Amino acid sequence: MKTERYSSRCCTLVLLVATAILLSGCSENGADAVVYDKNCASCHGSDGQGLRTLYPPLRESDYLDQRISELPCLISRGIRGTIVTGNKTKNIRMPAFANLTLEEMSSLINYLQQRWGKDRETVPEQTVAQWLRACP
Amino acid sequence: MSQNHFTPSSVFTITAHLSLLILLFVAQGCNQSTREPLPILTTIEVPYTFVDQDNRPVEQKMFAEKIYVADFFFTSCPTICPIMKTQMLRVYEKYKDDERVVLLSHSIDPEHDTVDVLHDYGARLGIEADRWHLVTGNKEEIYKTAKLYGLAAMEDKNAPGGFIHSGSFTLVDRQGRIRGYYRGTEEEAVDRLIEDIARLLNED
Repeated sequence: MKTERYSSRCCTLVLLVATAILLSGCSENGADAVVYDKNCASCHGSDGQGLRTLYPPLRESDYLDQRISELPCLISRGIRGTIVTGNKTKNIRMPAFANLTLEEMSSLINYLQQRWGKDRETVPEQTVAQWLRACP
Repeated sequence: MSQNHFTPSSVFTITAHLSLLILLFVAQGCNQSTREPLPILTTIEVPYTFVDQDNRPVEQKMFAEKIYVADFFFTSCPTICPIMKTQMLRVYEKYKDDERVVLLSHSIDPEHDTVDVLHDYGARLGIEADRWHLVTGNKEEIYKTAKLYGLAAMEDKNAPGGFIHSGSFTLVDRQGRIRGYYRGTEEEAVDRLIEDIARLLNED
Protein backbone atom coordinates (compact mmCIF):
# COMPACT_ATOMS: atom_id res chain seq x y z
CA MET A 1 0.00 0.00 0.00
CA LYS A 2 2.82 2.41 0.85
CA THR A 3 4.38 1.83 -2.55
CA GLU A 4 1.00 2.42 -4.21
CA ARG A 5 0.46 5.70 -2.33
CA TYR A 6 3.99 6.84 -3.11
CA SER A 7 3.61 6.12 -6.83
CA SER A 8 0.21 7.85 -6.87
CA ARG A 9 1.72 11.02 -5.30
CA CYS A 10 4.59 10.89 -7.77
CA CYS A 11 2.13 10.70 -10.67
CA THR A 12 0.15 13.68 -9.34
CA LEU A 13 3.35 15.71 -8.96
CA VAL A 14 4.49 14.88 -12.48
CA LEU A 15 1.06 15.87 -13.84
CA LEU A 16 1.12 19.17 -11.94
CA VAL A 17 4.62 20.04 -13.19
CA ALA A 18 3.68 19.10 -16.77
CA THR A 19 0.54 21.27 -16.61
CA ALA A 20 2.52 24.20 -15.22
CA ILE A 21 5.12 23.88 -18.00
CA LEU A 22 2.41 23.70 -20.66
CA LEU A 23 0.53 26.69 -19.27
CA SER A 24 3.67 28.83 -19.01
CA GLY A 25 4.50 28.01 -22.63
CA CYS A 26 0.98 28.90 -23.77
CA SER A 27 0.78 32.24 -22.04
CA GLU A 28 3.80 33.70 -23.82
CA ASN A 29 2.64 32.91 -27.35
CA GLY A 30 -1.06 32.98 -26.45
CA ALA A 31 -1.04 36.75 -26.02
CA ASP A 32 0.26 37.21 -29.56
CA ALA A 33 -2.20 34.73 -31.02
CA VAL A 34 -5.09 36.53 -29.30
CA VAL A 35 -4.50 39.73 -31.32
CA TYR A 36 -4.23 37.74 -34.56
CA ASP A 37 -7.25 35.55 -33.82
CA LYS A 38 -9.39 38.54 -32.86
CA ASN A 39 -8.49 40.84 -35.75
CA CYS A 40 -7.02 38.88 -38.65
CA ALA A 41 -7.93 35.20 -38.59
CA SER A 42 -11.51 35.55 -39.87
CA CYS A 43 -10.21 36.80 -43.24
CA HIS A 44 -6.63 35.49 -43.50
CA GLY A 45 -7.46 32.18 -41.83
CA SER A 46 -6.26 30.60 -38.63
CA ASP A 47 -3.30 29.15 -40.57
CA GLY A 48 -2.67 32.27 -42.68
CA GLN A 49 -4.01 30.49 -45.74
CA GLY A 50 -6.27 33.35 -46.93
CA LEU A 51 -9.38 32.73 -49.02
CA ARG A 52 -8.79 32.36 -52.76
CA THR A 53 -8.08 35.82 -54.20
CA LEU A 54 -10.58 37.48 -51.85
CA TYR A 55 -8.25 37.55 -48.85
CA PRO A 56 -4.52 37.10 -49.57
CA PRO A 57 -2.54 34.41 -47.76
CA LEU A 58 0.03 35.52 -45.20
CA ARG A 59 2.24 32.48 -45.63
CA GLU A 60 5.18 33.28 -47.89
CA SER A 61 4.12 36.92 -48.11
CA ASP A 62 7.08 39.16 -48.90
CA TYR A 63 5.66 41.59 -46.33
CA LEU A 64 6.96 39.15 -43.72
CA ASP A 65 10.36 39.00 -45.34
CA GLN A 66 11.89 42.14 -46.86
CA ARG A 67 8.96 44.47 -46.15
CA ILE A 68 8.21 43.83 -42.49
CA SER A 69 8.77 47.53 -41.66
CA GLU A 70 5.78 48.44 -43.90
CA LEU A 71 3.38 46.14 -42.07
CA PRO A 72 2.42 48.31 -39.06
CA CYS A 73 1.35 51.17 -41.38
CA LEU A 74 -0.53 48.78 -43.64
CA ILE A 75 -2.37 47.24 -40.70
CA SER A 76 -3.19 50.48 -38.90
CA ARG A 77 -4.35 52.37 -42.01
CA GLY A 78 -5.84 49.57 -44.07
CA ILE A 79 -5.69 49.36 -47.86
CA ARG A 80 -8.10 50.23 -50.61
CA GLY A 81 -6.40 49.84 -53.96
CA THR A 82 -3.54 47.96 -55.55
CA ILE A 83 -0.44 46.58 -53.90
CA VAL A 84 2.48 44.74 -55.43
CA THR A 85 3.68 41.58 -53.72
CA GLY A 86 6.25 39.33 -55.31
CA ASN A 87 5.70 39.85 -59.03
CA LYS A 88 1.91 40.19 -58.72
CA THR A 89 -0.29 43.28 -58.53
CA LYS A 90 -3.32 42.75 -56.34
CA ASN A 91 -6.41 44.85 -55.81
CA ILE A 92 -7.00 44.77 -52.07
CA ARG A 93 -9.61 46.12 -49.69
CA MET A 94 -8.60 45.73 -46.08
CA PRO A 95 -10.11 47.70 -43.18
CA ALA A 96 -7.90 49.89 -40.98
CA PHE A 97 -7.01 48.57 -37.53
CA ALA A 98 -6.23 51.98 -36.07
CA ASN A 99 -7.54 50.95 -32.66
CA LEU A 100 -4.66 48.56 -31.98
CA THR A 101 -2.35 49.76 -29.20
CA LEU A 102 1.41 49.82 -29.75
CA GLU A 103 1.68 46.78 -27.52
CA GLU A 104 -0.94 44.88 -29.54
CA MET A 105 0.65 45.92 -32.84
CA SER A 106 4.08 44.83 -31.65
CA SER A 107 2.67 41.56 -30.40
CA LEU A 108 0.93 40.98 -33.75
CA ILE A 109 4.02 41.80 -35.85
CA ASN A 110 6.08 39.36 -33.82
CA TYR A 111 3.40 36.69 -34.07
CA LEU A 112 3.24 37.04 -37.88
CA GLN A 113 7.03 37.10 -38.13
CA GLN A 114 7.52 34.06 -35.92
CA ARG A 115 4.74 32.04 -37.49
CA TRP A 116 5.28 32.70 -41.18
CA GLY A 117 8.35 34.92 -41.60
CA LYS A 118 11.86 33.82 -42.53
CA ASP A 119 13.67 36.10 -40.09
CA ARG A 120 12.29 35.02 -36.73
CA GLU A 121 14.15 37.51 -34.55
CA THR A 122 11.96 39.43 -32.13
CA VAL A 123 11.10 42.96 -33.25
CA PRO A 124 11.32 45.34 -30.25
CA GLU A 125 8.31 47.53 -29.47
CA GLN A 126 10.44 50.67 -30.02
CA THR A 127 11.21 49.55 -33.56
CA VAL A 128 7.51 49.03 -34.29
CA ALA A 129 6.85 52.53 -32.87
CA GLN A 130 9.52 53.96 -35.23
CA TRP A 131 7.96 52.20 -38.21
CA LEU A 132 4.57 53.62 -37.28
CA ARG A 133 5.98 57.15 -36.97
CA ALA A 134 7.54 56.81 -40.41
CA CYS A 135 4.21 55.97 -42.11
CA PRO A 136 4.06 57.84 -45.45
CA MET B 1 -7.09 -6.57 3.63
CA SER B 2 -7.29 -9.88 1.84
CA GLN B 3 -11.15 -9.60 1.81
CA ASN B 4 -11.09 -6.32 -0.14
CA HIS B 5 -11.63 -7.42 -3.76
CA PHE B 6 -12.08 -3.88 -5.14
CA THR B 7 -8.58 -2.54 -5.59
CA PRO B 8 -8.23 0.94 -7.21
CA SER B 9 -7.19 -0.69 -10.47
CA SER B 10 -10.23 -2.96 -10.58
CA VAL B 11 -12.56 -0.01 -9.85
CA PHE B 12 -10.89 1.88 -12.70
CA THR B 13 -11.31 -1.08 -15.05
CA ILE B 14 -15.00 -1.49 -14.18
CA THR B 15 -15.65 2.27 -14.60
CA ALA B 16 -13.86 2.30 -17.96
CA HIS B 17 -15.91 -0.64 -19.23
CA LEU B 18 -19.17 0.94 -18.05
CA SER B 19 -18.27 4.25 -19.73
CA LEU B 20 -17.50 2.41 -22.95
CA LEU B 21 -20.86 0.64 -22.83
CA ILE B 22 -22.72 3.93 -22.26
CA LEU B 23 -20.83 5.53 -25.16
CA LEU B 24 -21.75 2.63 -27.43
CA PHE B 25 -25.43 2.98 -26.52
CA VAL B 26 -25.35 6.75 -27.15
CA ALA B 27 -23.54 6.31 -30.49
CA GLN B 28 -26.10 3.73 -31.57
CA GLY B 29 -28.90 6.13 -30.66
CA CYS B 30 -27.27 8.86 -32.76
CA ASN B 31 -27.00 6.56 -35.77
CA GLN B 32 -30.65 5.68 -35.52
CA SER B 33 -31.70 9.32 -35.31
CA THR B 34 -29.76 10.21 -38.50
CA ARG B 35 -31.91 7.72 -40.39
CA GLU B 36 -35.02 9.73 -39.53
CA PRO B 37 -36.19 12.16 -42.26
CA LEU B 38 -35.17 15.77 -41.67
CA PRO B 39 -37.91 17.73 -39.86
CA ILE B 40 -40.21 19.94 -41.91
CA LEU B 41 -40.06 23.26 -40.08
CA THR B 42 -42.09 25.71 -42.16
CA THR B 43 -42.94 26.57 -45.76
CA ILE B 44 -41.69 29.94 -46.88
CA GLU B 45 -42.73 32.25 -49.69
CA VAL B 46 -40.48 35.17 -50.52
CA PRO B 47 -42.47 37.75 -52.50
CA TYR B 48 -39.47 39.90 -53.48
CA THR B 49 -37.16 39.99 -56.49
CA PHE B 50 -33.47 40.69 -56.01
CA VAL B 51 -30.54 41.06 -58.43
CA ASP B 52 -27.46 38.83 -58.49
CA GLN B 53 -23.78 39.49 -59.24
CA ASP B 54 -24.43 39.04 -62.96
CA ASN B 55 -27.22 41.65 -62.83
CA ARG B 56 -29.91 39.01 -63.35
CA PRO B 57 -33.19 39.01 -61.41
CA VAL B 58 -33.47 36.34 -58.73
CA GLU B 59 -36.77 35.25 -57.19
CA GLN B 60 -37.77 32.25 -55.16
CA LYS B 61 -39.85 30.64 -57.91
CA MET B 62 -36.58 30.06 -59.80
CA PHE B 63 -35.72 27.56 -57.06
CA ALA B 64 -38.86 25.46 -57.43
CA GLU B 65 -37.78 21.81 -57.51
CA LYS B 66 -34.33 22.80 -56.26
CA ILE B 67 -32.69 22.37 -52.89
CA TYR B 68 -31.10 25.59 -51.76
CA VAL B 69 -29.12 27.10 -48.92
CA ALA B 70 -29.76 30.73 -47.93
CA ASP B 71 -27.68 33.07 -45.79
CA PHE B 72 -27.11 36.78 -45.09
CA PHE B 73 -23.78 38.63 -45.18
CA PHE B 74 -22.08 41.81 -46.41
CA THR B 75 -18.87 42.10 -48.36
CA SER B 76 -17.11 44.51 -45.99
CA CYS B 77 -17.98 42.43 -42.91
CA PRO B 78 -14.83 42.16 -40.82
CA THR B 79 -15.98 39.41 -38.46
CA ILE B 80 -17.89 36.21 -39.23
CA CYS B 81 -18.67 36.58 -42.96
CA PRO B 82 -15.25 35.45 -44.24
CA ILE B 83 -15.58 32.32 -42.09
CA MET B 84 -19.15 31.77 -43.35
CA LYS B 85 -17.97 32.16 -46.93
CA THR B 86 -15.08 29.73 -46.34
CA GLN B 87 -17.62 27.18 -45.13
CA MET B 88 -20.18 27.95 -47.87
CA LEU B 89 -17.39 27.41 -50.41
CA ARG B 90 -17.15 23.83 -49.14
CA VAL B 91 -20.85 23.33 -49.91
CA TYR B 92 -20.31 25.00 -53.30
CA GLU B 93 -17.38 22.75 -54.18
CA LYS B 94 -19.34 19.67 -53.17
CA TYR B 95 -22.46 20.46 -55.22
CA LYS B 96 -21.37 22.90 -57.96
CA ASP B 97 -21.88 20.24 -60.65
CA ASP B 98 -25.34 19.29 -59.40
CA GLU B 99 -28.01 21.56 -60.90
CA ARG B 100 -30.51 20.47 -58.27
CA VAL B 101 -28.61 22.43 -55.59
CA VAL B 102 -28.27 26.24 -55.44
CA LEU B 103 -26.72 28.63 -52.93
CA LEU B 104 -28.23 32.06 -52.22
CA SER B 105 -26.40 34.75 -50.23
CA HIS B 106 -28.19 38.04 -49.56
CA SER B 107 -26.24 41.22 -48.86
CA ILE B 108 -27.63 43.15 -45.88
CA ASP B 109 -25.64 46.22 -46.96
CA PRO B 110 -27.14 46.76 -50.42
CA GLU B 111 -26.12 50.43 -50.53
CA HIS B 112 -22.45 49.41 -50.58
CA ASP B 113 -22.89 45.98 -52.11
CA THR B 114 -23.93 46.95 -55.60
CA VAL B 115 -24.00 44.49 -58.48
CA ASP B 116 -20.43 45.53 -59.41
CA VAL B 117 -19.17 44.97 -55.87
CA LEU B 118 -20.87 41.57 -55.69
CA HIS B 119 -19.53 40.66 -59.13
CA ASP B 120 -15.98 41.43 -58.01
CA TYR B 121 -16.53 39.52 -54.74
CA GLY B 122 -17.89 36.48 -56.59
CA ALA B 123 -15.01 36.56 -59.08
CA ARG B 124 -12.48 36.61 -56.23
CA LEU B 125 -14.22 33.67 -54.63
CA GLY B 126 -14.10 31.90 -57.99
CA ILE B 127 -17.80 31.07 -58.08
CA GLU B 128 -20.39 30.80 -60.86
CA ALA B 129 -23.53 32.92 -60.38
CA ASP B 130 -25.75 30.08 -61.66
CA ARG B 131 -24.74 27.89 -58.76
CA TRP B 132 -24.22 30.56 -56.07
CA HIS B 133 -26.24 33.77 -56.35
CA LEU B 134 -24.95 36.79 -54.39
CA VAL B 135 -27.94 39.11 -54.33
CA THR B 136 -28.63 42.75 -53.55
CA GLY B 137 -31.84 44.81 -53.63
CA ASN B 138 -34.18 46.86 -51.48
CA LYS B 139 -32.79 46.91 -47.94
CA GLU B 140 -36.14 46.58 -46.15
CA GLU B 141 -37.15 43.70 -48.40
CA ILE B 142 -33.87 41.92 -47.68
CA TYR B 143 -34.37 42.34 -43.92
CA LYS B 144 -37.95 41.01 -44.20
CA THR B 145 -36.61 38.09 -46.22
CA ALA B 146 -34.11 37.29 -43.45
CA LYS B 147 -37.04 37.02 -41.03
CA LEU B 148 -38.86 34.68 -43.42
CA TYR B 149 -35.80 32.42 -43.41
CA GLY B 150 -35.74 32.58 -39.59
CA LEU B 151 -32.50 34.55 -39.53
CA ALA B 152 -31.61 37.90 -37.95
CA ALA B 153 -30.31 40.90 -39.90
CA MET B 154 -30.24 44.53 -38.85
CA GLU B 155 -28.22 47.71 -38.93
CA ASP B 156 -26.28 48.59 -35.79
CA LYS B 157 -23.82 51.45 -35.87
CA ASN B 158 -22.01 50.07 -32.84
CA ALA B 159 -21.39 46.66 -34.41
CA PRO B 160 -18.17 45.94 -36.32
CA GLY B 161 -18.89 46.92 -39.92
CA GLY B 162 -22.21 48.56 -38.94
CA PHE B 163 -24.47 45.50 -39.15
CA ILE B 164 -25.56 42.54 -37.07
CA HIS B 165 -26.64 39.30 -38.71
CA SER B 166 -27.04 35.63 -38.05
CA GLY B 167 -24.15 33.37 -38.96
CA SER B 168 -26.47 30.49 -39.79
CA PHE B 169 -27.36 28.82 -43.08
CA THR B 170 -30.97 27.82 -43.81
CA LEU B 171 -31.60 24.65 -45.82
CA VAL B 172 -34.73 24.71 -48.01
CA ASP B 173 -36.12 21.68 -49.85
CA ARG B 174 -37.69 21.31 -53.29
CA GLN B 175 -41.13 22.27 -51.94
CA GLY B 176 -39.87 25.52 -50.39
CA ARG B 177 -39.89 24.08 -46.88
CA ILE B 178 -37.19 24.89 -44.32
CA ARG B 179 -35.53 21.62 -43.28
CA GLY B 180 -32.67 22.77 -41.08
CA TYR B 181 -30.42 25.48 -39.66
CA TYR B 182 -26.63 25.17 -39.51
CA ARG B 183 -24.01 27.39 -37.93
CA GLY B 184 -22.09 28.74 -40.89
CA THR B 185 -19.00 29.36 -38.80
CA GLU B 186 -18.60 25.77 -37.63
CA GLU B 187 -17.00 23.14 -39.81
CA GLU B 188 -18.84 20.25 -38.11
CA ALA B 189 -22.23 21.95 -38.62
CA VAL B 190 -21.45 22.47 -42.30
CA ASP B 191 -20.36 18.82 -42.58
CA ARG B 192 -23.87 18.01 -41.35
CA LEU B 193 -25.39 20.44 -43.89
CA ILE B 194 -23.50 18.72 -46.72
CA GLU B 195 -24.81 15.34 -45.53
CA ASP B 196 -28.36 16.68 -45.12
CA ILE B 197 -28.40 18.06 -48.69
CA ALA B 198 -27.53 14.55 -49.87
CA ARG B 199 -30.41 13.18 -47.78
CA LEU B 200 -32.84 15.69 -49.35
CA LEU B 201 -31.58 14.71 -52.80
CA ASN B 202 -32.57 11.14 -52.00
CA GLU B 203 -36.06 12.11 -50.87
CA ASP B 204 -38.90 11.34 -53.31
